[in-house]
Amino acid sequence: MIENTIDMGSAVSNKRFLLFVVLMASGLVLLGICMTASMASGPIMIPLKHAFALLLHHDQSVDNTILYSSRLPRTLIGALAGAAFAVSGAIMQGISRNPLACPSLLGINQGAALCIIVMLLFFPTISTALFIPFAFMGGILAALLIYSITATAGLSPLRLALAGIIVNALFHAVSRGLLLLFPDEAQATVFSIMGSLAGRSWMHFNMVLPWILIGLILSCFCYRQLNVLCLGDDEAQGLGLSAQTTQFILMGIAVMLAAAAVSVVGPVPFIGLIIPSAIRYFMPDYKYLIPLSMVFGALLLVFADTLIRLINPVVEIPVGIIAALLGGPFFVIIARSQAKGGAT
Amino acid sequence: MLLQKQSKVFAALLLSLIVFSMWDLMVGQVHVSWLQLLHWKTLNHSQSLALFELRLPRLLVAGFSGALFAASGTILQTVMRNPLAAPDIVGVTAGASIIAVAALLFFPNLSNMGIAWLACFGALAGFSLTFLFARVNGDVAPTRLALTGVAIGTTLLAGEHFLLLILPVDIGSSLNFIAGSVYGANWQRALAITPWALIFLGVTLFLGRALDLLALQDDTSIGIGFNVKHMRMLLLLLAVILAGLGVTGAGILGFVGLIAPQIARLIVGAKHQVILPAAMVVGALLVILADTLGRVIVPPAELPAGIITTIIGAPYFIYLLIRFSK
Repeated sequence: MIENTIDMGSAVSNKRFLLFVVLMASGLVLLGICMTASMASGPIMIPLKHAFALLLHHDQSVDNTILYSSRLPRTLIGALAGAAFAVSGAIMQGISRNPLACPSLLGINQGAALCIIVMLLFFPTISTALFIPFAFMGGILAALLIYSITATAGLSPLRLALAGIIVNALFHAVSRGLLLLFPDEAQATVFSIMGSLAGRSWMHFNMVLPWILIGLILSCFCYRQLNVLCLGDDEAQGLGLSAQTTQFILMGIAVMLAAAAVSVVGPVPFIGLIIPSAIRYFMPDYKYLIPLSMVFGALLLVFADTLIRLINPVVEIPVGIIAALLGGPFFVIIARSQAKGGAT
Repeated sequence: MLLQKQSKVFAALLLSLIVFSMWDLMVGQVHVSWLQLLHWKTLNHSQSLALFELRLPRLLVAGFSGALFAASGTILQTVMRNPLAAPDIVGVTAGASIIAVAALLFFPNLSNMGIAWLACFGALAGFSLTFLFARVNGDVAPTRLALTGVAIGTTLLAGEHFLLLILPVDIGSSLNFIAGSVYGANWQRALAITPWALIFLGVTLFLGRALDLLALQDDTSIGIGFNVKHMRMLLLLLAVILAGLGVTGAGILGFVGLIAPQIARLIVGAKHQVILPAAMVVGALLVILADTLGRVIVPPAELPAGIITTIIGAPYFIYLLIRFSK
């Protein structure tokens, strides 16, 4: 039904579709360039031309080994995680009708990270297959905590964000405390609570690929529900959608995407805030917003990860710090624009 | 009647301050029993070294930083009429912290006092940024102020980590501005902040009446011949300086400036002349207790006091947020 209302003005719809194609094409081209640059940069720089050639044909050079054993998995993981964070943010913003909702501002990233740290410290022999389910549990825990706070107080968008940030700070403090208390075990865990892609391998890629792929595909099919939920609970009910059940299922998908991404790159903040809000400005329709979020989310994380290796290829700055630097000002601006909706 | 109750509360506060300070001095790698503490002249060499060279300056820095953050939080909450205001919520401590780290990086020869003043300047800058961005149509809504402050704080802290990672620096000395820890506090640092802390805390104690007046409606205060605007600016400046000094002492001690004034209000009532000293003692108590706990939970590992204050303070903030929105 919502489809009909959107398709009513076919001229508008055509124009929108054209814009989508243009944005998508430019996003994909930029992503391609960025991914090649990411594979070329590091302590040993591979010339761009050579990197590109290597992707098409293997050869016997050292560059070939470096590219296939470390750079390629790292770049692919970055792209997957970036896409997952962005789509997760897009879904959360849709179901909460809150432009400040995103996995990092609702405490979900840090919740997932905390669970992974607990698992690594106390059950070091556990199989890596349980990594993501554990992270998912942590994310759900954070989501439930935020939900119960919202349910008891009926929070405005600003208050919801504030509660989320404080939950985030709490989980972060607990994680840091645990890592300090068990320094020997912590050294064995390569997990970064700042968010970093350093040292990611094909093992991590294989671990995370099915989860993120399933999440991304599912979310592409949910655009209709998200469009309806954006209208408001009453309208959604009127259109025959059980708002609460839909919200819970969608939240599950969003948390799974964020948790899977956190389990390989750590809690990189703000990607789920920046990308969907920027795209929504041009494309409020979720049918286009979700695929665009995927491409641009991947682009942002791969770009930031390339940037840190260009700044200092030997001692890498965690990519989470770059994301926080980019996202912080963005966050201030969105909070400011909430003046009318949730003034108190 | 009321006065009698208040003096009992203060007696209890001071007694717990003494008890917890003694506990703080007793625990650590070298144990000192409380009896030995009373006969401190008979201590052996390693004990007196631990006590006088390590734990005493550390205790002083912890106590003063806690009192400074608490005083700053009390002023901010009253002047901004915002129960969620606190130096670490409105961007003050993050501003102080990033400037202190930058100062260490670019002027490594700067004295402790020079860093403290630069930190105060950074605190002012962080607060001004928060205030400007939170102001929409001349109105600063409490939640927006808090959210904007947290956002600006996050950005500044990310910038600080970035600075630390790209520039060669003696990490040890700068880390204390971030972590919220009194680890490694020595006499040099204790003596640098003690006189200024005493001066500014003392000045604050005399401003209880002004804060009472500001807590009234603007019209009422103007009616009794009180320059609200000037007083407000002056008090905000004082709050910023207090927090800047606190950061120089112990870095960012999360939520101390938020909880200590709230606890003080709960136990001594509504008059700022009594809230201010009570908040200072509670703040000092909180940080000393957090520092001691951080050392006794899993020795020999040490948890920074800031982590413990955050674990205590964050749930309280959420409780406030819920109660405040009803």
